[in-house]
Amino acid sequence: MGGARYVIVVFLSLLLIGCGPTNVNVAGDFPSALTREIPLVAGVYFDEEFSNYTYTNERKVSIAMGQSQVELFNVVLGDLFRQVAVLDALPQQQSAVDLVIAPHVEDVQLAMPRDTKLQVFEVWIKYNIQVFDGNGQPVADWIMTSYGKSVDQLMSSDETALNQATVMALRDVGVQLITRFARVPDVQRWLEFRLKEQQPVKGGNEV
Amino acid sequence: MTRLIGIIPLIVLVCSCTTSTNIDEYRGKDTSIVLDSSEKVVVLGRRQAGEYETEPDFISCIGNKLANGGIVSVYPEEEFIDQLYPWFEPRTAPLHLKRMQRMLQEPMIAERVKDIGVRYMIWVDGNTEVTESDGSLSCAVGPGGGGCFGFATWDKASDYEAIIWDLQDVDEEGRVRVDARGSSYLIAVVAPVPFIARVQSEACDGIGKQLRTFFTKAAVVED
Repeated sequence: MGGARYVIVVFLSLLLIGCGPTNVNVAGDFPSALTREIPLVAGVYFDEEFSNYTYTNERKVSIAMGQSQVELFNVVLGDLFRQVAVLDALPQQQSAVDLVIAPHVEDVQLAMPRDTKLQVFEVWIKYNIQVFDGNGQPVADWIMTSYGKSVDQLMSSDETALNQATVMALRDVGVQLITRFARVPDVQRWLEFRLKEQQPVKGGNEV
Repeated sequence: MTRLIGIIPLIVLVCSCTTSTNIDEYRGKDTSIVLDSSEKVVVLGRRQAGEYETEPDFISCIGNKLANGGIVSVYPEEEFIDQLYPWFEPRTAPLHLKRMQRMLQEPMIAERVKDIGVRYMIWVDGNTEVTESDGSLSCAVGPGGGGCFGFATWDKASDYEAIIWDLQDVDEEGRVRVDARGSSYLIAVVAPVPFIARVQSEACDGIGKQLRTFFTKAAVVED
């Protein structure tokens, strides 16, 4: 009888825990990307808002993803370009880099099993990837939406599932940077012009 | 005699939560796939569908079943996806042989696959889901104690298909399809007593053992 009472108390405690806020500090590993290198030096500028970005909503869900997205961009851009420098500010005049990438989070949306009746947690992150040349002149505003999902599992918390879905969405950012960056029309035109000045090297990835 | 009357429904329940499993296979060739000691097999789950994904623990279960016979050396799924990032993510993974062939024409991808020694890839698509549930169960706790009372039942169905690709010759070696069904019960008189049908593990057992029969080990030639 004592054992049964213990099981029920634990069960009710778990139910009460489920009513509290959901706080996720996104943590994940982002592997090095297998990609053809674009033979340019890129600068990357993360503003304060991007580096500390935390999504919150009215249902007390909070996802701190700033650090993880900075890590992802550093890894992937480091593989995509010959060299990458992290900048403290956007260049206003002639700088040592060929182009500058400044990502911004425009919007984040979540879908949880209790909303959709599907057994999946889904995360969409909408970015505006601003691209400037080495003189600080705008080249492109690339609006990119990444998506990640994770399956709702028995005995797994909402935090774990949301972390996994967000990590998948961040990995999807990497996928799109590798496979689509050089094909964004404005970027493609600029790269063709810039690389013609150097040597005819095929940049970007099309498989 | 009274005890016997109590035990009979219990036995009926235990027997009724068994699982039925069907396995179909198709082989591209009459002969088995001969693996030499350096050739590995990777088992990957498809994660492209919006409403479900092939469970990672099911994929590692198949990997364990394959590796059990000592014939097949299995390369871990997560490691393979990371080694080939970003080419096996949900957005980019090749779902058809034609796309796989195009991907392997890219030297950096072909070289990485060769470097890690993966010769065969097994794509697994499907999932396990609850198809029907019934009954009700309620629990209460008070100063004098607590308990649950009620009866619940649910049916689960597992449907999976595994396709074997040869990454060197870029062709399909065969397919195995498994479907498993089973009903589980939960009876609660103070404490809940579950009778769980192991639907997914039966499916894993079936598909894993069947896939193993596709492979044989190359004979070691001694001087």
